Amino acid sequence: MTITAKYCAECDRLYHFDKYHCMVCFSKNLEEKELNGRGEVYSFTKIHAAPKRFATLAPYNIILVDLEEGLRLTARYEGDELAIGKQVIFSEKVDGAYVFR
Amino acid sequence: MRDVSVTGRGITKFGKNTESIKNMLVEACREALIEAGRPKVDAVFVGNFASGSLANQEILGSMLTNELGLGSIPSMKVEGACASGGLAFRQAYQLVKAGEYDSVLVAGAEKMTGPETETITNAINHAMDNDSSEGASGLTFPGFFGVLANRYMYEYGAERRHLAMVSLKNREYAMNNPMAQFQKATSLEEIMNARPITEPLGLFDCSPISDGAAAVLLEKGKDGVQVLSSGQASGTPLMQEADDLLHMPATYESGKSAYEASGISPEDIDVVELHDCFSMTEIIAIEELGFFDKGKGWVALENDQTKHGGTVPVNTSGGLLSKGHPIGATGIAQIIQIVDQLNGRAVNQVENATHGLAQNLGGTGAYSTVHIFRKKGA
Repeated sequence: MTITAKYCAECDRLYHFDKYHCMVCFSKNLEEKELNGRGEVYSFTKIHAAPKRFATLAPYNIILVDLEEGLRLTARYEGDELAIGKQVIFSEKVDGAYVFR
Repeated sequence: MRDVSVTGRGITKFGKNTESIKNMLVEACREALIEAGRPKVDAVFVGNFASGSLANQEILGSMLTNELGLGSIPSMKVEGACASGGLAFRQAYQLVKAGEYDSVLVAGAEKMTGPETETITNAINHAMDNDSSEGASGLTFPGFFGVLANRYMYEYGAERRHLAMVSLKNREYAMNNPMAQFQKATSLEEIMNARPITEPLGLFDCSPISDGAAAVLLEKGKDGVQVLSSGQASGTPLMQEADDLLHMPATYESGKSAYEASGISPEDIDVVELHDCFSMTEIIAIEELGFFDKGKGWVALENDQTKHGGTVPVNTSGGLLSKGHPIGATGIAQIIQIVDQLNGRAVNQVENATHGLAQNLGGTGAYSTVHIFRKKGA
């Protein structure tokens, strides 16, 4: 599944979807850009002590994933043993969170 | 610019305290003012993170001026997550140095116990940028340091036990500190086998929920431990936007500013208090502050270089990990330990210490302050 990111054509910079403007030129005319949803795990943690909102998920995995297009993203991971360098793929967005498998 | 010195200090015991935040603040400030000989005070600054959501209380500055009988002098609260105390101290230092005030009372406090754990966890998570998909992912405040720790170990060859060595060292120091929250002996095995919080970090790798207050009086002149310089910097509050997760620019830049302004280098520092909110954070900080090379902080732990007799003793108070971490009080409590060291009356006293450094971090690297101090007359 693809991930929608934001893009400033003026500065040729890719941004996370929740950015309000280009941090370089301050333009608010950011385009939407589809990323292929594939990436590599830069690092990870398994969270056991979770806030109330996520308590039913615990323990759950958080990954910091380097997407193929160059953006780094914090996401949740569902699946087998995690390791740095593992190839992961985006599966769905749940309540604003990116979930990878 | 004028000389500025710390002429009085006061602190409550850290841990679970049934007293109100007001009562703890008054106690710490009374002690500091009495020690300084109750001079005229020109302003009051209070470092605090979350008294609104955790203690149902704001306007801490005005409450203090009233309770201490200081009249209508200016007062305010300063917020910068866990760096609230360091930020308040810096504002006071700059204004006394510039000649705006002759003396400023700087306090810090947090009342954390009482509410349900979930309320406390939510409040702590306010120290992250929650208007982002990162906040929605379920990343927690400790979780950030778990992610950092896994990458650090992968990149530099450190092991889980090196994180545990930080916690053990700080506990051993805390055992001699009557103000500390945790004074019970522990072992590397107990630390490594403790309940996981966010892997690879376990219970002993994380600073606790604490109540407490601390205060210092800053005055113009040299009649006390002298503040030589102050550095402050900011960093991204988002993990996914860090240029290099293993580098904490706020810590590095605040240290660089403080070293440059004082003419003091890391080799001149005899004793350090730095921000060990998690065991991993201490290892990053000793590298960023220039005491050890990048990627070699864990080797310093392995070789006992951050204890008495090593390169530089770090967190001789017991640190946040074992002394406790009442968020707003922490930055001031760190400074008190350095002041006590330079006055020759500290727990875990470092022989002949003349220069000390205190570093206070806010959020996941969002803010950092560094202050460098010199012994009176040195």
